[in-house]
Amino acid sequence: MVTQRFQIHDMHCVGCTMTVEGAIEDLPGVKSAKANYAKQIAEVEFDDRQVTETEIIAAVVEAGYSAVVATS
Amino acid sequence: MNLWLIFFTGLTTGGLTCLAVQGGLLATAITKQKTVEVRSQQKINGHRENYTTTHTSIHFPDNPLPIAYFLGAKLLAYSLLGLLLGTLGSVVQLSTTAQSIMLMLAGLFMLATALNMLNVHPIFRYFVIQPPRFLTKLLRDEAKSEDVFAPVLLGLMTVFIPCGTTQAMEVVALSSGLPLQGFLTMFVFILGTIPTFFVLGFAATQLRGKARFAFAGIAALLVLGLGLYSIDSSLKLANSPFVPSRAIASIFQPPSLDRAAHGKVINGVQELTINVLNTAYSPNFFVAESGKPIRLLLTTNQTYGCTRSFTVPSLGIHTVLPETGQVPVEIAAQQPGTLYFTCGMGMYSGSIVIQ
Repeated sequence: MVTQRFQIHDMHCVGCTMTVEGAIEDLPGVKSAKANYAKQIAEVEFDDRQVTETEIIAAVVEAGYSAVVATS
Repeated sequence: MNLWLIFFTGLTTGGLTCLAVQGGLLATAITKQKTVEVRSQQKINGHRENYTTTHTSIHFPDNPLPIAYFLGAKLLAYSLLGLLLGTLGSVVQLSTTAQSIMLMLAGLFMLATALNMLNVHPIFRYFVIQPPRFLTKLLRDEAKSEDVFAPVLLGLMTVFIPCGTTQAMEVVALSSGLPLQGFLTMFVFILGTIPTFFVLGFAATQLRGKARFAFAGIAALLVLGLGLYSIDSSLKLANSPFVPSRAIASIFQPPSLDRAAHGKVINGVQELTINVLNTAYSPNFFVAESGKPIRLLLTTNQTYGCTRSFTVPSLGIHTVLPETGQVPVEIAAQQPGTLYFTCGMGMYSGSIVIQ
């Protein structure tokens, strides 16, 4: 199990955090996704053998937002 | 609070900004409903075909009932919340000073909300209340459910995912300090959002880019207006020497004593009769003599609303009037100047010029 933070863009209200969390948690291998509206980040706990960071970012993009892996 | 302004806010932008969020939930629930209907038909025909088509497009359903259930439940939930907030506000309200502080905080919160909607600075994001995760997870799971009650439950649960404009309205309901006012605030606002939901349906969930920014902009300006209105009311209640609305009014319409109402002198006391209406005091501009005591006769007739909470902030007078009746308020002889009276929320006011 790996925990990675992602910087999410264009979350303009708390409803968006729900959409982002839902999109990520639907992926097999993702244990949990916690999105924070104020900080515009999502913390994802996932099994890196089943799902990759690229796939997580792709899921966020398909939901209508953009994401990058957080550097700090 | 002006209920027409609240209704208009809901009708125009409240509906659209919240639609993107809540509309998505509704769309998911309704799309699932359609899937269930088709599957059961297959079984009735006696065939056992594997139905594996996935519904990815969002379309307007033939049956408007799920939307009606959703909106009805949403209206009920938010109105009850308004009632709760108004009641809570009345418990918290101890004095005119406390009410003034609440209105100032409410106004500042609304300003921050508006500035956040305009994306002025990331720091304003911290003013938005994010619901706890167990609630948002419950909402998402319910959206995926094929339960026939899903639209109703989703409508009720939208209370937990208010968007910027709705949060501002909740603050208005809270600062009213009256259960009925709180109830009406939320009821009227959500009522205003309903036509938008019905008419635009799911199309608005596709709103992107410039169109979304334009609507957010209009919503933000309305919330900004509400925030400034709240701050103005706060200043009236605090008996502040500077009140923006009064300053602006005096520029456009300088008070002329010709229009002022006079009282009747009875046994050396100046009696001024003020009719307490739902959204105004009438008359609301009087002239009286200094050095003589004043008696205000406050007349109500099936009046509801915050005008029944009558205050004279500079003299520390605060009285709650009955729904129907006439209540006298005695004021000692005054020096020349202007005496302001206002409703408990600092919205509807009037003045007595003492000469």
